[in-house]
Amino acid sequence: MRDEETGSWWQQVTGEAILGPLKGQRLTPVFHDELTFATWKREKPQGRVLRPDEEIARAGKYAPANWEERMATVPVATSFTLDESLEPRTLVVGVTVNGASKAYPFDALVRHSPIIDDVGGIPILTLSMRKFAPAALVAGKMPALQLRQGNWTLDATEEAGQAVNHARHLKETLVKKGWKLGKDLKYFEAKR
Amino acid sequence: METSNSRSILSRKVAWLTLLLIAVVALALVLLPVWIIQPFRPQSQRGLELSYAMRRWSPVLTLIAAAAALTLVVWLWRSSRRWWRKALLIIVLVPVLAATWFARQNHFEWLFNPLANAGYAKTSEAGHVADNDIVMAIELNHEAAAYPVRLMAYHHIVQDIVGGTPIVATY
Repeated sequence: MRDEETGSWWQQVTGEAILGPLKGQRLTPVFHDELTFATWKREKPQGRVLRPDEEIARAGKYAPANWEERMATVPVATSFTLDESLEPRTLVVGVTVNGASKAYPFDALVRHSPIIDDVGGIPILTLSMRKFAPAALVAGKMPALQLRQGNWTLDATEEAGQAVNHARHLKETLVKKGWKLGKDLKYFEAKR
Repeated sequence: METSNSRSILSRKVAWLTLLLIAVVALALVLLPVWIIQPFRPQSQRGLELSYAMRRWSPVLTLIAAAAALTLVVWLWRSSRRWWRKALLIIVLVPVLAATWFARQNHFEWLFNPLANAGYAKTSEAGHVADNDIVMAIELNHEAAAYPVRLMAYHHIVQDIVGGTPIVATY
């Protein structure tokens, strides 16, 4: 994007001015999420939604209903050779710890969540928020998960309501997977 | 007499070659950046810098090219007797003039249609968004706003103030 005021070129994905008088400056990133409208309106019934421009809508210029399917087929622009074991636009959850990185394809994550793994020598737990807390990711209400001396601590005190339900669900799933409550997993739930 | 004739032929040849060169350079000035910055293709810092420099200088350079080309065309026109040579002059001049026009267009953003007066609907009244449509959502200072991707895919950029903070949403 080029701003008309200074003629600087801004990179959309990073918000950084990459060329021109403002080169090197960066817009402050704002946490945002991409989710279905159904999920969002359940979470934010008081929110507001961008309206279409009537003229443009009448002219049929807005993206068609199958936009996401179409986008899944467009090429991916990278300057390096892609790992061909996955489709280029496969959605993954990337985890980097101590310089080591692993990616979990989102579909696999939804199927197998929670996934217990090791990245960079650190045990990690990867969760599908779609399965455990479809609303929590947007609101930043994910129950706190911490590793303390080899044990997982699940702390549901951060937010009341739905987050506690998700934390309970997660605890029960992990216990079913063989985690021993009190040994492998410490669970805290406090009322506000 | 012969020497004068051969000089004239040589001058015309040089003029033709210069005219062709001007046309090639003028087109390159506007087309190379388009080729370098085409969507869905990896880009390098060097390529972007080159495109940026060409984008900045092309309005002036193409104007100079157009003036020089026009001068040469007028001169060659007068000494051309055959109709096809005159036609060829026009054919070479048109791309130079087209490049001069193109250099004044913000063509990198032809696909961007900023929504100048963005309007919003309450969530409960947003009949224009289907339940399975993807939205880009933010929340700042307890104010939540969503930008449907199907609208953003056309506009690409919307400026807004959410929770008192000016933001720009891009897709």
